[in-house]
Amino acid sequence: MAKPVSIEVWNPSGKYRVVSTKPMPGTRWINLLIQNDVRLEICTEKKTILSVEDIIALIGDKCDGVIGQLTEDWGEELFSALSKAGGKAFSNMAVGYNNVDVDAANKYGVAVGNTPGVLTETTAELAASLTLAAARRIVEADEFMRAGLYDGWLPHLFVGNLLKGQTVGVIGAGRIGSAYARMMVEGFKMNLIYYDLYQSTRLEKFVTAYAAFLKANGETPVTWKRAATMDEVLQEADIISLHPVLDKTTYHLVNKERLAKMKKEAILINCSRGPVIDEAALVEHLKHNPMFRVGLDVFEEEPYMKPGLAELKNAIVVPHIASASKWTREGMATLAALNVLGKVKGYPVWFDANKVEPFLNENARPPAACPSIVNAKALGLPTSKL
Amino acid sequence: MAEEAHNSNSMNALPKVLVLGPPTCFITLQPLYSHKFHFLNPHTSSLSLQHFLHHHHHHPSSVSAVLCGASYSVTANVLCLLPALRLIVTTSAGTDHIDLAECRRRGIQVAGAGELFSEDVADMAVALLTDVMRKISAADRYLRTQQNHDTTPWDFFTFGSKLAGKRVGIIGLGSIGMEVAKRLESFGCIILYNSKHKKASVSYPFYSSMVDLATTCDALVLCCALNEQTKHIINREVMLALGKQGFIVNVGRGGLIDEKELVKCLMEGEIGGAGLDVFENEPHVPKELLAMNNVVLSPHSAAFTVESMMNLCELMGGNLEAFFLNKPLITPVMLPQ
Repeated sequence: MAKPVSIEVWNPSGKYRVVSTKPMPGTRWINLLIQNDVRLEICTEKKTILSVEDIIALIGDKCDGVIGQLTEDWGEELFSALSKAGGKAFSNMAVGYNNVDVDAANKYGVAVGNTPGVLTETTAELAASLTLAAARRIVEADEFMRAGLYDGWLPHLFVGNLLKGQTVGVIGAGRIGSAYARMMVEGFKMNLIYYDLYQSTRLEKFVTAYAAFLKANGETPVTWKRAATMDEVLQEADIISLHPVLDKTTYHLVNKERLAKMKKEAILINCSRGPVIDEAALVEHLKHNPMFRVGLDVFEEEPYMKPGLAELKNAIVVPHIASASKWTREGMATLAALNVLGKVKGYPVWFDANKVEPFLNENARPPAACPSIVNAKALGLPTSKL
Repeated sequence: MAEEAHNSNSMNALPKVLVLGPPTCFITLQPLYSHKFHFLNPHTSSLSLQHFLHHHHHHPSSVSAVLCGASYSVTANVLCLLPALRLIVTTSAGTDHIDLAECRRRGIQVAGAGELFSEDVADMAVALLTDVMRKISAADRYLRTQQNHDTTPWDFFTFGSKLAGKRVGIIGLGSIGMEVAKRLESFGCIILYNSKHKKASVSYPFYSSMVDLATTCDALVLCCALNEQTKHIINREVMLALGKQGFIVNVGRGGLIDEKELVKCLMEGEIGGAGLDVFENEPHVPKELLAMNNVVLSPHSAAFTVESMMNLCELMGGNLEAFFLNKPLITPVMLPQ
């Protein structure tokens, strides 16, 4: 039996009981729940990851919905417990839901929410930030300065690479991948090669238009190409940014063999999901190729890194902060809370999960809808006509 | 022996270029141009410049060109030693290490790196801004030094600031400033600027007052030259106007910021953070900065990429060739009237 976990209770006399497995940023999400007759219980346990047993204890005998985190294992056991307690909804405070067994949720009739739309810009921005930091060796230089080693200007100190004219490779040209590609192409005049199962017409049109603009101004136009295979991107690109969804087909997408296909001085960025890269193989590759650089926001077994990674100078490692801007995280908390609240109240599902601005406007009441339910179709939930 | 004498004679027949510093790219440049110029490098000798020239039988009147880097101060005293000097080629874009007024008085032309480094420096400016705002270096340090993930959870790490929608003030909208603006626009930033003059060709709002610019902005990026007018252009008043959530990036010259006040403002939480590639008294960096998590420090490396080093060699060689062939310089520096 799990030890009792510490909780903070809001609106104790509320009609609906909703549990949040972690304190979340901001207060708007709390206010929205308690204004709608919700008794909110926030787990304040100082633990990075709650176990299944911990969460079952939190759910208890009566629970209408749970707001959880990407680090939790939401499978048969938890959905069974939530359903028994009368629960109708679970929402991740994340876009991804590879921690959720959606089939199990369907079996128990539990709606699964996520928080897309609010993350596109900020995640693409972090991928671009990691790209720049790696290309210009910012983290290494900063460490050098802090160690008090700067005793005069030297031309060979942390010589990086100019981005202009290089090729950026994007694997997965969905919302985030495309936003990142646009930043790098327009901002740094990089050429683009991308791989996606689907053609990204909007991205292609954008790069074509930008190339025409450059040409009209007497500058070298940028180019784009949709690769027939992922390996083509790996072989041709100077910078590769990974933006696929994580599923069986993308697990260890970047492995020892694929790393070997990349340029010796390539830069690899991952702000998607950790298991997309075989991290142990990456550590070995970085050790044997000191000019190869990597920027990682996600890891295979968070919150741990594979042995040796933290010691490598040609790796930049940050603790899953792609969404770590105040506006974004507060927005995610709001969307996750409204997913659960909407289902509890019997609201329909919002017509477009990527157009969530009306839910984030602090000066207006949010629409009476669930912002994003990933299994809405499977559960036969109605859609908002707004 | 005869061949050695022949080589020596043929070297003497080549135009002499005195190398002071020596500059960044000299190691790469020398083998590429040693068949065109006779490089005199006092750096290889322990003698003073004056003694070096006499010791090697190079009369000062035989030296008409100098190649130098930003770290060598070409003062009036140095110019006095070289009465026949007609050209100074510097590998830097900035010229605050050269007495330009004295050059004008003596009829000495100056060639710099021009806009060669603009894009490299702009990349670095954006890299520093994104790093300090999104806390990349701080996050990396946090993760590497964290011993026990269960007692210091990842979500303990504090939020950064999103760039999109932020108002960024660019100080000095020359070639570097324009490149910074273009890059930041792709991140969804709103650009404002302060420059010596309002630019008719741009639509960005112009602010003649630094305090007004700082009051309006979330971040300031320094891209201007250092001169009497711009020394300490970022003073305490400007920093307080920028405010507790504001960021400063400096890829210009250290003296553009009153460094003592910057340290104070950072320590007191009066500004949000800083990304610094240059310092007021290089290589001295205030100790206080080394311990701060909201600053990113870089060893004056904004201009240097693999690509810019190669381009720089070509440009320096090209300016020397143009001078000795009596052709216009490729990247002349305007001398003060």
